[in-house]
Amino acid sequence: MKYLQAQRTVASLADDAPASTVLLATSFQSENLDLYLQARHALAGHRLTVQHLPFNTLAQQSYTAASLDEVWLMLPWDWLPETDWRTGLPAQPLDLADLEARLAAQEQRLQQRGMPILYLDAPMPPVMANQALQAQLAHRLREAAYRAGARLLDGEAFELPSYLNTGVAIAGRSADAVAEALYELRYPSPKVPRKVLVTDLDQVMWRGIIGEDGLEGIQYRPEGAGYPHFLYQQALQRLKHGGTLIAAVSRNDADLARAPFEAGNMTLNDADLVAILGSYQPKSAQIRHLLEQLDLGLDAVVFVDDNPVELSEVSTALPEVQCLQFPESVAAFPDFLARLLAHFEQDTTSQEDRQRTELYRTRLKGMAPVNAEGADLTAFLSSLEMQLTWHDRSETQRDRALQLINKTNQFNLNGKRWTDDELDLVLGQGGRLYSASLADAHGAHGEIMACLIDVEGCIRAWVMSCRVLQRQVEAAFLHVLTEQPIASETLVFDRVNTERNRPLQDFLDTLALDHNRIKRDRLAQQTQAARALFTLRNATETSPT
Amino acid sequence: MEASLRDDIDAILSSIIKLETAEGVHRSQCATWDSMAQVALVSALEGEFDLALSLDDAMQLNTLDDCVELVNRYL
Repeated sequence: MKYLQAQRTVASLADDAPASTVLLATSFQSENLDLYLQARHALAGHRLTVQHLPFNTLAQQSYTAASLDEVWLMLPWDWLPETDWRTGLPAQPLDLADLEARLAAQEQRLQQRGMPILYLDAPMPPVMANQALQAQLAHRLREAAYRAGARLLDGEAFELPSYLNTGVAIAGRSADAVAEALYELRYPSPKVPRKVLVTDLDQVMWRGIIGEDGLEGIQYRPEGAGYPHFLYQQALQRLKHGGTLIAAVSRNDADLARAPFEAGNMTLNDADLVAILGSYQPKSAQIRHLLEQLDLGLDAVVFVDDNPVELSEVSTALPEVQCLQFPESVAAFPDFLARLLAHFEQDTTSQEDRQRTELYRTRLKGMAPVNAEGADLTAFLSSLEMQLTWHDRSETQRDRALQLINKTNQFNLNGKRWTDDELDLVLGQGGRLYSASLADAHGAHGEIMACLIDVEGCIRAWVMSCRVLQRQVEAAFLHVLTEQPIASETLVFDRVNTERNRPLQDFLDTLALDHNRIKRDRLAQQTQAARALFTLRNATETSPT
Repeated sequence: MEASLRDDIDAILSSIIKLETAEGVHRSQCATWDSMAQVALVSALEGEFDLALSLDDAMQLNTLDDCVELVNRYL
């Protein structure tokens, strides 16, 4: 999570969110972790106040009575002050045997206090007589940390120049990773294993978007960009053999979501999943419905998605569900996999465990479609603080809009692909090409919608990226469209129902169209409520309205 | 792109020095832009843009223009 995203996440908390205070106990300046730590708590719906110790007083703190809400972030010199870069090198090399009694006493003291500790294995100055002894000391300190119950973090987050000059030990670019580790120390994975893993499909089960890239375009094999997804499927297969139920939820048509499993080329196949749900309803509604059918509690579920908005929607509507973000970078994948598997750890596997998926699949036969009223979507959308930026691309910068029109399948007015020449013709006759970008409390989504309207008010092309379905952005866009300088008082949708554009069809069916025509003022009236969910910014203006 | 970067940096700096905007503000004339704010600013820029700023560069940040120029140089 980046700095501004963390700020927006904290700002989006409801006023009545439950609040707590934690003492972040460090011997260095650690205020730069506060925002990220608060954002991690905000993602779980909690407001956090962070307190700090006066600089360099951690050692004294270890002699006081433990507070219930404190978390320690320790460096090597919090065990042995002689190893602190800021105090300089000792006149004589240290002797580990001389230090042993002090280390053992501190281990015992910290064990008795029992607070969560994160130990940052930062590099130490050369305090021992040679490199072998120096390595032995580092090893001994890690051992001490483990004995005190600490979780270890590698030393990359430590920033020596900053520490020497300002006392800030954690680099800004590592602050979020450290905050995440601290959050997990406060809220460790429960000991009772979860029973159901609900997973997103696009960009998680495979690389790519099945609705746009097709069966041939998605990647899930052990090569290139497909590797993390191949490993993820292997992990899920292992969980399934251990008795975990695997289910998929996706904002796709059900048959499209199911197709890669039925094709039989992936590690996981149709029979490995207890259910594959494809629907355009909120994922929280899909998960709730699934769990009702399985007759299991929501606290049995781990939900994995790559999209922070989806994760936020589910964690807001279903706080019992443990949400995990599928990482954007491969570097973060090992840690993600370890945390995922930790939620399902169990000592033994029975024959019934191995057959559990089959048993539940039988139970789910005849499962009803997901109820559209599963979550309070409007309240959730309001909390996203969505900002729509309107672009007139008729004259310049039309590449992204044209690309969107020619790539999008699901929310596409008619499926027609356009060439530059065809576009020139419509625009040359007085038509307009509009697009819109979306941003929200979680960050920017880029240019996600494009619309070509000809001089007679006929909407010839209209598409929206499936990444932003279920936000009412399409209705808000139409509202803004009615305010544009278009000669015709009636708008006509050049609609063609295709095999793929069910989301578009569903939306147009909610408008009172008369043979795909509607008066502009009537359309404005019907889309007014959606428009109110957005702050509008015209790309040529500076202040939002 | 450039305008967006400047907006982002303005959002970061103005939140740290607790002003509506950092446009036209100079560190030497801003009471809330103290040494602690400078440390917070450097950490925030590093966190937002995944940078490792050198101390010499970080200490030369006196205006929003300085911040934009420095981030552009590192990106």
